[in-house]
Amino acid sequence: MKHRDILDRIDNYKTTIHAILGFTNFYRFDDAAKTFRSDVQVFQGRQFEPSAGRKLKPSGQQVAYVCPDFAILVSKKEAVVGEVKKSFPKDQQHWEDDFGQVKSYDDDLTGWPTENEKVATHDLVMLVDQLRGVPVQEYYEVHKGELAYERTFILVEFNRADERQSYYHFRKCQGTGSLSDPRIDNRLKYGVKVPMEALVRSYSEIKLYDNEPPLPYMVFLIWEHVLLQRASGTADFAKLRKNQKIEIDIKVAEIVDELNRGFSFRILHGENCDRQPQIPKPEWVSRACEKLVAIKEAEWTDPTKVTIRCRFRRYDDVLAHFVEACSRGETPGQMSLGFPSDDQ
Amino acid sequence: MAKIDFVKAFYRGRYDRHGLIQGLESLLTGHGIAVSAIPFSSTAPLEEVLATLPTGRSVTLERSGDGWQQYRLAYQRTVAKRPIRKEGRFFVYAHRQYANVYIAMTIEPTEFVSHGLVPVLKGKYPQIIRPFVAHERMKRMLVEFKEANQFADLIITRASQRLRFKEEGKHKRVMPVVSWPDMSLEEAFAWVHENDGWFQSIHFQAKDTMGCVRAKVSITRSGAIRADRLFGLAFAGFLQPVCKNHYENVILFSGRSRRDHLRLLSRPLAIEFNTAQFAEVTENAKFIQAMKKMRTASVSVLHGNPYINMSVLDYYDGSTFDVWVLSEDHLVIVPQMKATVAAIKRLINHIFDTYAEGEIRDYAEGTA
Repeated sequence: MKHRDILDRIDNYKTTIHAILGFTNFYRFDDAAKTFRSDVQVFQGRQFEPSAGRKLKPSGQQVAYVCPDFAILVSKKEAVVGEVKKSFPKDQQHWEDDFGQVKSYDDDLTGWPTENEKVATHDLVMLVDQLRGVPVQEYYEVHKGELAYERTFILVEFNRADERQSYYHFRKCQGTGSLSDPRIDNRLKYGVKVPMEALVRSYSEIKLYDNEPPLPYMVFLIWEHVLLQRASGTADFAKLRKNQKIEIDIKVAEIVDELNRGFSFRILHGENCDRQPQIPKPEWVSRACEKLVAIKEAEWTDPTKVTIRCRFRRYDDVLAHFVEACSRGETPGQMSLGFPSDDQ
Repeated sequence: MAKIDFVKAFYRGRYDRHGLIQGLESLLTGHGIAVSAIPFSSTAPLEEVLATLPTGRSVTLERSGDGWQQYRLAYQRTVAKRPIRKEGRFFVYAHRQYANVYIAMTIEPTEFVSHGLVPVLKGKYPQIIRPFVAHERMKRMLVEFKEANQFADLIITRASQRLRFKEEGKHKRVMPVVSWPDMSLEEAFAWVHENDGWFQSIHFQAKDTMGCVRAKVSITRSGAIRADRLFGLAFAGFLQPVCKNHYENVILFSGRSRRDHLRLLSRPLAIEFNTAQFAEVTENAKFIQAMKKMRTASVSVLHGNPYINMSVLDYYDGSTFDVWVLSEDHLVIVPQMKATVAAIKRLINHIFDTYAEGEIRDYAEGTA
């Protein structure tokens, strides 16, 4: 895989996070008061239990949880559940899965931070890249009968654009439903520009969501935001030269915890972490650690692969180094990008 | 009748802060002796900071007064392949108004300053942080110095400038470095501005209305000065504003580490350029090229066009930053888990030196 393609994948990953933050911000941010509303809660990847009738797939497979890309709860009453689809597969045969995923949220879900863990109803939202907005909308038009969403379904397209400022543009696609909040629905009908700068803090704080990032990006985040912090706490760090290294022993669980606390949506979840998955997932971090071992930047200290010994070195461009190192020796398409199925 | 050694007497004198400045000025007769003054800041106790120096250098505290300390610095230089042991004295003046801001002052020759004192202070980075004086601010200080003291003119006799984007052949022989024969302030600053540069140092003569040279003074980008007379005026005109600005910057840059906050929230800074600096997409490449020159750092570009998002890692102390350019007239620096004052200052200093200067402000989300 070419470096450019890897960087594009990383960019797509970040764009999905930006889209989640941009859309949820319509609810979180009070335009009149210019502050974040205290009565709005936003969740990413929250685990909701399906209703009794939906706990078994037609295939017979058990469904313990559904985990939407975002869930919004306003004043403990109104709610929105949604999915972001940055890219759809070219083959429309697979689109059924994406709409089916939204269908799984069209249910009396349990797991809201309310008294009985339920809400009366909620809107269903699918955010799609504007490039696919029209065909996705056409697909929905054709298949809405068989999809038979019981709750209001709203298709919103988004794209990034650049004029004097860079911004994300969100607009509701015609022919789908109306959001329960008429104020937001009306804004989205005509399209809303969200300047990226308005959310630059959140973009910098939240670098991971509940889909596995491209492997070189995962390695980069571990190196810059976990291993660096450990290395800089050692006496040798200040005098570390380029041909030298600092050995750092660290548990996979510690890496998971530090990235979870500092760079996931946990920052927005506040006290409501009980139904939140731990992001990054330990297996993502383990895979990244395996890669560090494979490229000789680290070694496991025990056969159970609980602790890794990393050799921290100075690189002039950490991301470029790991994009290069991770793709070295891999044939095109061979490198694991650890990407979610919808980002193919 | 024995001659009075004024210098020896000066080193035995007792002073308060103000008296020390007066005492230094009293030694200046325009015949050889000049005062060099180097402002800096440190949050750690100075005696501790200066106690451990690389082999060949040592600093000994000789005595202390009200708000100042007198040190002896011994160092070694290699001249004609032979090591030569040298030493000299310097004072450290603790600024009364600005906490943790100091000025190292000496009447030793420039050789002591450039080979002894400055390397000691530089070598103590990041514990010791030196200020930076933006180009416009330097010009403003010089103009105000001239007007406040009613000098007829400040004539630049020597200067060292840096031009940010040297294209092959473009700037060659236009204005040789360190060669500014009798140029007025306005002309010199206009030339450097037109060539997208800044002064590393300026040496000038302050002339009165009779055309007499009242003092020869120099000032550097890091706020250090040297004056052969009128040290009190130079202290008030240059060192005071440099110390004030440095103190304000240290306050502005403090407490920016995300790990210092209970909820790990970030506290970004913005650099305002007051012009449509990034109006052309080609500026992105120039900015990235400039950032890639940062030494002892990793600069990773996550997005380069049309908006910029890069991650900067400082290998001096492990500070990390996200840098964003999302608008044509400013950029945003988002400090990550660790972001020290020294690293923030170094990052901004690098942007000012290699790309463009702007106004630094606290960035509040939603104000864009």
